[in-house]
Order: sequence, then C-alpha cells, then structure tokens
Amino acid sequence: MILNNIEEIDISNYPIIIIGSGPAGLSLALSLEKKNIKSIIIEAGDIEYSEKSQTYYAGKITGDIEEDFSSNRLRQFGGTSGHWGGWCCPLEEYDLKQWPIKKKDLNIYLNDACSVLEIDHEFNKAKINEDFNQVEFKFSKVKFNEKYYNHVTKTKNIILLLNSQFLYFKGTNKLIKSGVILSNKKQKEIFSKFFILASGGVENSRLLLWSRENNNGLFNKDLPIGNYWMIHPWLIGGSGLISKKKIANRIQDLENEDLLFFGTSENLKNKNNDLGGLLYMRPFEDVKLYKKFINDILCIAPVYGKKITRLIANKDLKCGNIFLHMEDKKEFNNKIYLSNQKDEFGIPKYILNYKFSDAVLNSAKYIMESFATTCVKNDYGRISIVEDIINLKKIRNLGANHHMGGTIIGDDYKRSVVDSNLNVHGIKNLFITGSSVFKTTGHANPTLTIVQLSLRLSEYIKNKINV
Amino acid sequence: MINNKRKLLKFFVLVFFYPILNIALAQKNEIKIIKINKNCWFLSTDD
Repeated sequence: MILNNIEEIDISNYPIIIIGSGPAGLSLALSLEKKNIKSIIIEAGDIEYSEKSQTYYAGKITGDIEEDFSSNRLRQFGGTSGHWGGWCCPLEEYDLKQWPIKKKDLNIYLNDACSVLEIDHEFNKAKINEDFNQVEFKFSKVKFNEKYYNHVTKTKNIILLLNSQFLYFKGTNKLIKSGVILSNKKQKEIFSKFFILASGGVENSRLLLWSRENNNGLFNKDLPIGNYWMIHPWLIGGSGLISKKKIANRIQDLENEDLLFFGTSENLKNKNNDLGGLLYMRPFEDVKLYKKFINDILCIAPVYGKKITRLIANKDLKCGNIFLHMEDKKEFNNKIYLSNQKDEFGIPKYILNYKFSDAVLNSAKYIMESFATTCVKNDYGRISIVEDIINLKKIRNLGANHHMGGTIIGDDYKRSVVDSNLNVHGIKNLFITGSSVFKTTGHANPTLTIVQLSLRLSEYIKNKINV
Repeated sequence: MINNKRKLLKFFVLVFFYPILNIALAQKNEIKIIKINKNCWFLSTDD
C-alpha cells in the first residue's frame, strides 16, 4: 500500500519501521512479508526523483572526492537502484576475514538474493595462476521501483510512506521508542517494536549521528558513527592486448563476454600485504583506441607485432583499457560528520572527509605489475600501465559511486557500530542494513551483498519477534 | 680407451649441462619495460 500521509491508517499492527526504500530496505520488507511480518517503509522521496529532491544530497566534501552525491544517489522509491550499473558478484571469503560473519553465513541467502535481483546464482571462477582468477559477474536488469511498484501498491503487509523525511530516533534505557518524521509538513512521532535504518551509505551515518545528538546518553559516545567511510577507488590501470583463448576462456558459457573480469587472489593480497582489486576490460570499447594500441605495439615490439596479426586473423585478440576496481583501505579519519548548516528539514547537512590512502596507489601498482608480468611470462598478451600508477604519482578516480562504511559491523563497540546481527551496539531494537555496515569493501560491487545482509536480517527479526 | 672417455664426457655434457644451458637460454626471455605515450608497456626481451 502506498501512502503520503501516515494518519490514513492504524500503524499499531506494524511491528517494523524501515527507513529507506532502496535495495536494502525493500528487500528486507519483501522478505519479512514472506514471513507474515508487516512493515512500514519511510521514504523521503517520491515515486520518482526530482531536481529538488536531489539537492538534499548536497553536502560538503573535503579531500579527494570531487563530486557531491546529488547526482549519483537517488532520493526516490527504490533508491539509487534507479540508475545503478547492475553488476553483481558476491564478496570473496578473504574479503570477510575481518567481519564477524563469514561467507558461509551470507551464502545461505545467496540464492534468494539472486532471485530478488533476477540473476543466476552460479558465480564461476577459474584460476589463472596463484595470483589471479578469472571471475564472473552477473548483470541484473532489476530497477527496484519498476519491479516492485505493483506489488507494493497492492499488498497490505507493506506500507510505503512517500515524501516523508525521517528526522531522528527517540528512546531511553537502550531502547528506541519512536521515530520522528516530517510528513505532510507536520512533525509526527511513530511508535513500533523494531526500527531499521536502511537509507544508504551517506544517510545512515547522518541520521544516526543526528539521533545521537537528540538523545543524551541513549547512544554510546564511543560508537564510531560516520567513521571508516569507504568507496571503491576506480581508475584506469592501463591498457592491453590479450589472447582470449589463452587467458579469458577459462569460464565455460560466460554470460557476458563483452566484459572480462580478473580478480586478485588471496595469495596476491597476502604477498602485497594490503589491498586486492578487480581488473576488467571491455574489449572493442573504442576502435580508435584499439588501433592506437596495435600501432604502439608494432612500433616498440615488432616481433610480437607479427604475432598480433595472427591473433587478429584468428579473432582471438581482445584489446582495450584495463580498469581497476580497487578495494579501499579502512581509515578511521575518512568519515562523515555533521555540519553546522541544516537542510530544510532541520537536519544538519553532512561533511565528508575522504582522502585516498597511500595503500590504494601502492596496491594498484603492485596488482598491475603482477598482471602485466603474468601476461608476458605466460604469453597471454601484453599490458601497459599508466604512468601515474607506475610512478606512484596520483589516483585519477573515475567516480565515487559505491558508498560503504560509516556504521561498520564488528564485535567491539569502540571500533564498530553494529554487531553480527546488524544490531546497533547497546540499543536493543535498532538495526542497520546496507553498505554502510561493510567492514571491508572487497572489490565486488556491493548490491548483491546488501541484499544478502537484508535477507539475513529478516530471518533474525523473525526469530526475535517469535521470542 | 680414449674414445670411451670422449663418449663418457659427451654423455655427462648432455645429461648435466644441456638442461642448464636450456634454462640459461630461457632466461634470456626477460621482461623489459618501454614507455610510449605515457604508458609503460611490459614486453619480453624477445618482442
């Protein structure tokens, strides 16, 4: 059921309030519904975003990110999935080493998460050598607003409350009693048993920080809310020519042959003693580029140039830029905090302080050099590395689209915000889901993991309610 | 007697030194890095 005014119905039968209707909040509500648990979703936006609604994402960013988030986040039903890339891959086992939950805990929900995203759940991986694997990403066409609009309109088990800005939580004695929202220009207090913050990688931190300021003593002052904020640094690592038969044909029946993905192994991460990454190539992205690389190779490596002509004849040559999707370094001082300026709802705007760790550039160089060397030694192809990386000059980030951290998962309340059940440390009935709980980023796109976490949370809440 | 010694020497050369010679030749195929248009290409010395 979709409403614009909470006063239209009796909400006492709804034990769950979810703040945010993006992939995290909506997949949670849908999963709870299957368990006969009713929920209310509070969404600040409308069915579709507007120019004005996007301005609420504007904040101040200091450091190495150039754009604010008024263009890459969407304030609407379905959240940022309205324009997401659609690429899905689960996190690796070694990505979750620092988490209190492991890959096997998330794997339980892999099939269901893939059903939500309408993708196949078999993610193939093939070893190239000790350092690299060819990995498979699945492409999801699901836009949450389009796919679930009809269902949410008809069901009585989910109330979607649109155009209602969540302001802050109220509570005492380690318990949230209510949430204060601004709906129809009126401030209202809504009461429930469980509250789930699912409003994205920036808003989760901002709303929780504002709730802490509004409740003296309710939240532990040591909780690192807003800290350890991360992205996937995304850059062009170089370019190259590779033989598809020799390196990229290891996965049988690859769904998307247009993009070739190579992930670093745990072995390489250990050797490097730092961050992993994903290399991907989109062959034939630009014919001019293709010609340029071949000309370069013919000029500097004439013997290999002859080989290339053979590869072209056999239609076995893949050529293009090599993009790097890096794991980020978890840094305490990369953080979201509240500004003195408030938005029109009276919530302080965010300030994001983010600087690339030196580890990102060092690891990018190590990964690219390892891949280039692997290609030469095994005659898989030839790779070039951009000067900025090889000389450790700077990161030319292509965009900061994956926002993670800020309310990270962990066992220690001084170093994390939520526990292994996504329950905020010290508050019995407040949970957070979404990429803000990621303790490490891995190199895989986050949406599949977000949905897995939400489905796992729905199971935990079901058990809590039954108790 | 001398012929036998020669045969023995040839046998030792083939068994022990030929593989070493091969490894040495293979190592000739090392990595060289050539910079062109702000890109550093990783190539083989045989390229």
